[in-house]
Amino acid sequence: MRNRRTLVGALVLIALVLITLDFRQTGGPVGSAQQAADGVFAPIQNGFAAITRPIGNFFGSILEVGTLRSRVDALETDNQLLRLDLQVQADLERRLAEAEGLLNMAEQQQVQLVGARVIASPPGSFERQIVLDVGAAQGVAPEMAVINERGVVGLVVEVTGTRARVNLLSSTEGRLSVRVAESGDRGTLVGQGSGLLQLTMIDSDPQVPLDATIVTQVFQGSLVPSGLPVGVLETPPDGDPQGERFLEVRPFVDFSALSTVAVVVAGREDSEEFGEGELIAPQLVDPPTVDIGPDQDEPTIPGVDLPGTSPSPDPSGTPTATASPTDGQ
Amino acid sequence: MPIRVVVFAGLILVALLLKTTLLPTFAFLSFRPDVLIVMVVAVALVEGADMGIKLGFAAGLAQDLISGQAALVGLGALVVMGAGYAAGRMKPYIAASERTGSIALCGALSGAGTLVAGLLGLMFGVIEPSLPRVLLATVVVGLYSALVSPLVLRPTRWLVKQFPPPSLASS
Repeated sequence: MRNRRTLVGALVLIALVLITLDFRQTGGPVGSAQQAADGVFAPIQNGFAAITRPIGNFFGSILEVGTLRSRVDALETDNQLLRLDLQVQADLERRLAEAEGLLNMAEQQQVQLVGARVIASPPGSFERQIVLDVGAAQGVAPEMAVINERGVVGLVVEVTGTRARVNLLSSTEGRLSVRVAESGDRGTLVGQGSGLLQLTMIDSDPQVPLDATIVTQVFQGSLVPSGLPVGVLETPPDGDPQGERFLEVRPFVDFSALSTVAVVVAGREDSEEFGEGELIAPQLVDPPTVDIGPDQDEPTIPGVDLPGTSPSPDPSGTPTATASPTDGQ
Repeated sequence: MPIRVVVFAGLILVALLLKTTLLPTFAFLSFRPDVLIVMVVAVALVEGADMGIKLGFAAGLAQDLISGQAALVGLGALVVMGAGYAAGRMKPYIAASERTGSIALCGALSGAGTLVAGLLGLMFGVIEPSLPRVLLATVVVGLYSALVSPLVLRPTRWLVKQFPPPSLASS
């Protein structure tokens, strides 16, 4: 019994010394001993693990058979949910990019937009209309332009309280007044069902630069603001479109992938600007008439109070003219 | 004598290998049975408290040395030595129902060893788990060790009896 107490006392003392040494310093003799022991034990451990791992996995699998099915079910459910989340996230990211593009477009063009989602696309291969989830309640009206972040998508043709039907630019029924951004030459754009749009220039001998950008052209009564990007002139095979009256335009918009668009409900305030080369027709004002009263020495001019003065006739003898903007078409 | 040292060293090595390589596969709530304490208890139940103390100290120290920075060297030695000593002291009291008593003792001492190691670890700040986690570990490790102890007790006892102390071997 006494030997045992001595043994226990000695071992406890050794343990306490080891604890103290290990607790007070990192490394040192205890750390070295740990490293040495680990160096010897690790290879043995690896070898033993290589032998026993298959056994452990086998028995572990047997023990887990009961729970494996539920785990598989749970993992499959999680997997489906994650896939759904991924799809939703991808869709949200795409819509966010489109919305940011639309905002940039609105900022650049200084137009007022009403955001819309395409809720119905053409069911067939030949229909060129889409339906939007906005309508008269949001201020949408027929003939308004619909754009996405790239350019003009089409024109609104029908509006209900909460829905709007849009004729795509590619539609053969739609016509859009456009101009060449660089030169200002004007023309009319018509869809051809798919692919390129047909551009008929008003000028029979237009000076159209290569790869010119085509933008919308404002005209009186139109709800489409000027300057919205439409497409780029497709370079003809001979490489020079100059002098050609009938040209083709590749639209900026991909009509097959429309999801987020915007209706231009108001253009910029200076949308009455004129394009280069646009005609300004003078509007003549009626010349003043002179009433000859009883006293021919005191002529009067209606609307002009010139008491005691005599009218001074225009030495040139021509009437006064005032220019005003008119329909450019 | 040397052959017994080799046998006990082999027992410690196998127990540590099982504890660190095979048993993690069978972990329950991330806790494994403490086969090292069960092995020491098995030896102590055959050879008494003195052997339990020596083997427990050696086994605990070996465990501390291969634990790297995760353990305080000497702490495990104290804990496993205490388990070996307690098993040797309890030997007369389980003689009536040796099998059940051995299993219960393995479970109780494994749980107690886990508790003491956890509390000392918390005290010295060398383990991260909280007190509830230590208490959960005490219960799970105790029950799990009791459950697997028959698989350890029987071969260990058989092996130890093959290499009796010189005094018994000569008699």
